[in-house]
Amino acid sequence: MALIKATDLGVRFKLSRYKNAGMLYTLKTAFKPPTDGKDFFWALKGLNFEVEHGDILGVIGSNGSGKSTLLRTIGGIYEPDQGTMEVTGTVSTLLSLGTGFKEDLSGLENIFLSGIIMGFTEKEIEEKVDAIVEFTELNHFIDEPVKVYSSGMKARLGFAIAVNLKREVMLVDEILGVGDFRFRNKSHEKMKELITDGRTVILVSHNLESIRAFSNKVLWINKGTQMAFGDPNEIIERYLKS
Amino acid sequence: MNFLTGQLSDLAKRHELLRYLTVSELKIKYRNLAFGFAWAVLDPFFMMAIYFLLVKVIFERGGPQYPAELLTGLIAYRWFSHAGITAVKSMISNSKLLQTVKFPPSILPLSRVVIALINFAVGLVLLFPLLYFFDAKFTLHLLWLPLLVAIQFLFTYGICLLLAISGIYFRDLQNLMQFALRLLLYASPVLYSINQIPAQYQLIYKLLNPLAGLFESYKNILIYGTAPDSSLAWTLLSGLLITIFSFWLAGNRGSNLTKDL
Repeated sequence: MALIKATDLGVRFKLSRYKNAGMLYTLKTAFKPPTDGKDFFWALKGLNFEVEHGDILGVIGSNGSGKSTLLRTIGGIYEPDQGTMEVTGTVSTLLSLGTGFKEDLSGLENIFLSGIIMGFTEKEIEEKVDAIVEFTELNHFIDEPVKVYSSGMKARLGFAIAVNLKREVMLVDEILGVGDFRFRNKSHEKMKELITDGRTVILVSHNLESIRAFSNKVLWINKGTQMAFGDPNEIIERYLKS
Repeated sequence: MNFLTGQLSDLAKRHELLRYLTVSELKIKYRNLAFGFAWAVLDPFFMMAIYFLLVKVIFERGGPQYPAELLTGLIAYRWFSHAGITAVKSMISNSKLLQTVKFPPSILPLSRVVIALINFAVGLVLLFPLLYFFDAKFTLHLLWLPLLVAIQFLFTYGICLLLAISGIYFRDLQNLMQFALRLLLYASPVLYSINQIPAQYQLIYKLLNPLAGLFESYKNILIYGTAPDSSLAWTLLSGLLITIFSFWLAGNRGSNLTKDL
């Protein structure tokens, strides 16, 4: 049975000029029925794919093609405006590159806060906290406020939290390229470990090499529509030629 | 009523998150200050001192128990105003987070109400010696206090949830808040007593400002040793209605909230 199944999936957004266009404009347009293309646009439209248990799905596409919107829809943050998105099993969204870190709190405090926000219990985090701290290689900086961290340090902390607090389905958004050369190798090792561990991973990346290395399925989207879904090598070849 | 039970159980399930959000906000707020958490006491104290100077010394108004009346009203008012002004931006300022992880957005204004409640509780600690000093009548009516706190919690959360959601759509609300709250202060029995309002206007006054009856009730039970003002029932009723409406709105907007951020 499919763990994730998208059927004719569509997600749309209001166009932002309607959001902050001022009071008069808001009042004038408040009661007009919205029209397609002018008032909103489809960030995703007509997507059909299935992800089985243990699959590693790579999602590729140029900037603004809807990759992050797709991850958010799988994570339940956005609801489909068309079609369905069925997800069985628990999903963890990675706080990629430290979204949600509180600058004034220490690294350690942020590990707990992030974990709790992601829906883990305090006890679950306590069990993993040593492994997380060790993975970050932050040493005594773990007790310093995150605002003194370099961007690489923040990214390492985010990655360490993400890969150590595991769910059945893991959504990974562009986090493999973080840190220096050595840390990148280490995070690749960790990714391989997750894969052999039988996790289902949805991987979004512009790094086609890592997609090719990890994925057994690839979804290519362009401007919100599905270009191809299936074998990684074949689709990546076509994507490169497009 | 499904929307209500559903959202309430969602909130109840995430009580650990509520605790963490609250504690980390408090840590962030007080950690960098030399006086730290002492500000929770200093804040209402300074505010009382200023109004005392203004009303008692400059305008030569206010009775013998005026400082006690002033502080009682001020800490209750500040619970509401503090929660409101932080809640209105609670969802907007966490937009990145709301778009990354799934959790009930209504927990954000809730944590702001709890933080302001903690400040209120600290204010109470400051208030009791003052009550004693200004010959407040301690009677069994003090037992009403938990109920008054519960009613204010309900009313404040209802408004704060509404503010947090509306704040996404009308960013101007943040600018309006400080004026609205200043108006509320002058339209509430905080700096003065409800008896100073002409009798024929008292009913409409309490109807227009549901917090008036509540603030007066605090004074009744804490200082005068009498029962709460009967208009407390209106505070409770309006609090219930606003909270239910806000939950309905939160459920109705649902995932659109995260899209509109």
